[in-house]
Amino acid sequence: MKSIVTISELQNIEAVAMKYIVQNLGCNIRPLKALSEKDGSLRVPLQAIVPRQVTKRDHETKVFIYNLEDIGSLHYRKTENKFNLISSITAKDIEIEISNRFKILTESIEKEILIEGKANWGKLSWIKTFLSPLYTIVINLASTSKPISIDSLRTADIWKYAKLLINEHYAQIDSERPNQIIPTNKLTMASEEYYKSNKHIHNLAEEIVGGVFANNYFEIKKEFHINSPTAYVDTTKVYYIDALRYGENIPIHEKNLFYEYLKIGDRSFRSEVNLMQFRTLLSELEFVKLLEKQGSYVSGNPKFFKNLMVYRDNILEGSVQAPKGVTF
Amino acid sequence: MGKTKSLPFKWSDFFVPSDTECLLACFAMSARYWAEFFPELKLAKDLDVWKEFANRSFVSYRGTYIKEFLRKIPKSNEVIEVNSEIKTNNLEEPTSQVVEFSELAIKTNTLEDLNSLVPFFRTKIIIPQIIFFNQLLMTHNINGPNHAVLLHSIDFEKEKLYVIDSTKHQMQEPDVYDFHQFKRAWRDAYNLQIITYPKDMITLVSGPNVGITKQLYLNQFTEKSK
Repeated sequence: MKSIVTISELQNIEAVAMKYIVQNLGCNIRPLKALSEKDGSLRVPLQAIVPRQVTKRDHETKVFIYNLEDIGSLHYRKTENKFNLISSITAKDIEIEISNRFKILTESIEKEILIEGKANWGKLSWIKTFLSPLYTIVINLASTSKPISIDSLRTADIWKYAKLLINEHYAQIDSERPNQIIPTNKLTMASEEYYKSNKHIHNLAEEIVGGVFANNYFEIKKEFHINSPTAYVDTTKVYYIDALRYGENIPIHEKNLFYEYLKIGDRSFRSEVNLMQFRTLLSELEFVKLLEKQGSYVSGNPKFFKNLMVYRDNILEGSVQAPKGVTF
Repeated sequence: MGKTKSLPFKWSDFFVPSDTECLLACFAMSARYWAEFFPELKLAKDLDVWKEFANRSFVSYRGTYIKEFLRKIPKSNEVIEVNSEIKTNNLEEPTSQVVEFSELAIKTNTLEDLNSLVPFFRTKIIIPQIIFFNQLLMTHNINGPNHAVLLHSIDFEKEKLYVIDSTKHQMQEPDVYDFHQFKRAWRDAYNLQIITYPKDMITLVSGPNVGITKQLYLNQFTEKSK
């Protein structure tokens, strides 16, 4: 026995695109009015409507809705009464594009965070692990003042780290023996200061590496392909971005920050176990006073937050605040 | 036209709350609904498993999409990866597809108007319909993201639409929308409707195009149905 359900469907191209979107791209994506291309095909530009919600400890919530235009397209060719899809952006590429749009809005904050943490980045465990050649070179040059052969650095595949120290004026190529590097006056004076104040040479190395990390962050990330230490910067960033969006140095639950953190980079953290790793990151950032913690809630360093408030307008560009009571 | 029949929705058994993943919650509620009529469907029986499914975060800015969550359908009392291939049948055109996984098929439609929702209430077992609309446009006149709800019934005389909203945990009864407000918000999502149905028990084939009207022939439910 059969029954017939007769339905009437919209047959315009945007409606066809809408069906494709909800199946393949994501329900925050919307088709805009199709445009005719020179080759006779039709391009449907896509818009992302992305809500960003910040909830503080008392559950008071503010929602900001970002309207991101032209984040990709669907291309169709019309044949008889059908629209044939000829090319489409992928869900992954849309995610990258949206992520890049948010990165542009938060670039200035990232720079400020890097500067603020300069003296402390070098104390953090993943930076110590992944940038260990920097520590080794600094400690050798500062404690012994002996030259280091460039060939030995090349053999150990750490010459690129030495070059960072040269760029930062902590090391220089010996003018008499150009196959070796020696400490600069800047490094020698800094190490003398440390000895005088009875501080350990490792503390000097931490401070120098922190500065090198802050000043060469993008190079370390993109050219050295060292990504793990970026977790500290991104974690700090997700807190301050949310707090700035809200407009106050508010306590935010670590779980909310964790999900935001996952979105801003291609992260391997995907489980509760990794939420534990995230907690460790937060504790380290608390130790160096970039963030503060109270139980499961994270807040910012008040002085630093105040300095960052001037960037609030950058973050909110292209967004509308939803009326009170709206949540997602 | 009067009032349609109501979706026989058992709140205590079918309702799946979710604060953030409304599409997943609607799908979960539809699946629970079909499992009531067809217990042989290999879907998870435990409501808590569906709650977990509807509240898992896919962690993205773009929002989730159907083919993404189909692989995580709760089956056999636990959330597992469904290994079966997701099939797409080209029906009318490449973008109007039926997506299937091992138990349920999903069809997306962009309907002409509210009247087009009615036939799904007239089948022997009412077919659950997920409808998509711009909720903030409806409630606050602001362009916002899409929201999905499960359609409960329509009253054409009172011009009211009754829906099951996964974000309204405490209600235990349908939320009510005015036609006037809803139509604009639904139109903003191109009148998108998603139906789910047990693929082995209903065969969906494309009918002839009659202008903008298409006919979907649904095999009526077999004697397996209650």
